[in-house]
Amino acid sequence: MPDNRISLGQGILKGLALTIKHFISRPIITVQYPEERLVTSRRIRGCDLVWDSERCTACCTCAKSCPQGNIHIETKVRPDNTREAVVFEIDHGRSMFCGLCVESCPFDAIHMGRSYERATYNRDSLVIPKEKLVAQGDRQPSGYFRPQFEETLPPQSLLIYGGKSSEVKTPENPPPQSPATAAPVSEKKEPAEREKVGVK
Amino acid sequence: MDWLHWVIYVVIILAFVLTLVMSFILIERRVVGRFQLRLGPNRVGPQGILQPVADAVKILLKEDIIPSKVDRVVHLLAPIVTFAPAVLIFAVIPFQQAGNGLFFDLKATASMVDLDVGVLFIFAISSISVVGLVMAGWASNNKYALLGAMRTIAQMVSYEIPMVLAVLGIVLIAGSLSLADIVDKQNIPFILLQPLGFFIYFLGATAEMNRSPFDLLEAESEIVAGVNIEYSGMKFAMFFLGEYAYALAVSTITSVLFLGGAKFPWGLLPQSFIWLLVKILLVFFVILWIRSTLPRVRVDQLMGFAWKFLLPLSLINLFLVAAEGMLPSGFTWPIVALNVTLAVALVVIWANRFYRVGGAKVA
Repeated sequence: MPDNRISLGQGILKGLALTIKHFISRPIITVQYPEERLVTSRRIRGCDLVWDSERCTACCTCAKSCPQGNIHIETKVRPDNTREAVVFEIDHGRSMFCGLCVESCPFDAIHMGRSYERATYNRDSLVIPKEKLVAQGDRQPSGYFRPQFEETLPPQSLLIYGGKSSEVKTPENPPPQSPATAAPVSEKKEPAEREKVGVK
Repeated sequence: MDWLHWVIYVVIILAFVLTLVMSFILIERRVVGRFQLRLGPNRVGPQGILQPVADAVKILLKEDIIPSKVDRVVHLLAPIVTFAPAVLIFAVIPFQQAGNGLFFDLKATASMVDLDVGVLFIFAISSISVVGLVMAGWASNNKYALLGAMRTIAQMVSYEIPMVLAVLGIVLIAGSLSLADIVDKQNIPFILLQPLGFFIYFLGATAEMNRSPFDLLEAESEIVAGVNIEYSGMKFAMFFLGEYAYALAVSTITSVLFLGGAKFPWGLLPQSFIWLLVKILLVFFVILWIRSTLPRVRVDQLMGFAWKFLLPLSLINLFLVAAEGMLPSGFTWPIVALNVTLAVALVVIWANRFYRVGGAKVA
């Protein structure tokens, strides 16, 4: 259906100019994974569970709430009539990381972790004993169901803190933290560009 | 020592084609990646330069499946018929002219054979690869392969005409069909004398080698993979290599016919095969640029574009070149200015006309 607009191929030229502009000046946006990583969400339910041996009273609520029975606890009564967990193992291989144990813990002694790399060479190493369950190395507690951790964690890369949309969603959220805690990848982005994405 | 000449050039051409085809595959993936704001393959070797080797090893080790209902002979022959013409084209390409060079001097033109009808040879040979695609489409006994092959015949027959008519302008200016003579005559690159011819030739060649935006041969959203749907392993790799060898051939022919081949523009530096190589890469970059910008056209748009846009323009172009040939020599720069203006004006006017009569719609 012909119309009266003038079409001289200027659309094609516009497209060519745009692509060459991207080729020359736009930074690469992909993340080179093993070398570069994005900071995960503060509330991530990562592929591990972190246990706090100081706070744990060995009440076994987590073991009872686990839908799959992955948490194995053996307890002992101390002389002062408190309990201690002699054996505390979690089978990460069977866990579906639903977070029910974290939600049910009355003493905030078990947390979801922030790590997302759990590939191993055999199944036995997925059953983690209590010495290795505590926070160490990249095994750090996430802010899932634990607002006290959430505020200390670095903001997620490529996610917009501050700005209109996120203020409406999470009014209790603190303003963005100092860029030093943010990931190197997220620093590459200009603040203006971030806000633009956030409004969309 | 005639046989030595043949042996040396067979080795040179095979090495040239295979190395450049391998690097084209990598260059394409890296450059298109950069256009799409990603890096492309960068894991195998420094900056991913060994990626083509890894791909080749993978594809050689793959199982070579021959479906039970294919026409065996034709099915096995088709990849070779597609690949071989692309290599044959390089038999007449002058890699460096006779005379003083940047690195070494030559007594004769550095080409396997300096055919007097080199341009004719190129277009005759490059048409054979269509036969290979048709053979593949027919022998595969698969409806998608056959549809892809039928599209290819229509596309290639249509685009051959404006393409050859555009090159005819070059032949008129140079007064010779020999590629060495054509390069010799290019004191200024023929792209300046023949901007419209270059435009038509380049679009026609893009369609001829089934590159985006004219890659209807393998439109995966419509006909899965086109002719190579039943091919696997090394037979598929032959099609893949053939496609890139043809892209290399088109880049080389464009460099030789329109950009002055081995000559440095205006003869500022001595001629060398290095300049030819730089020009080839430059042309290939433009092909990639177009690929990463434009979406695939429809079949009716494709045919309409060839017959209603490129063909009339190429006839006008041929007429203009012939008319300018009547002028006395010595008017090089006025003619350049005139031709660039005419090219822009004709493309703009015809594009608008083309759009007003319904664009590429056939109905």
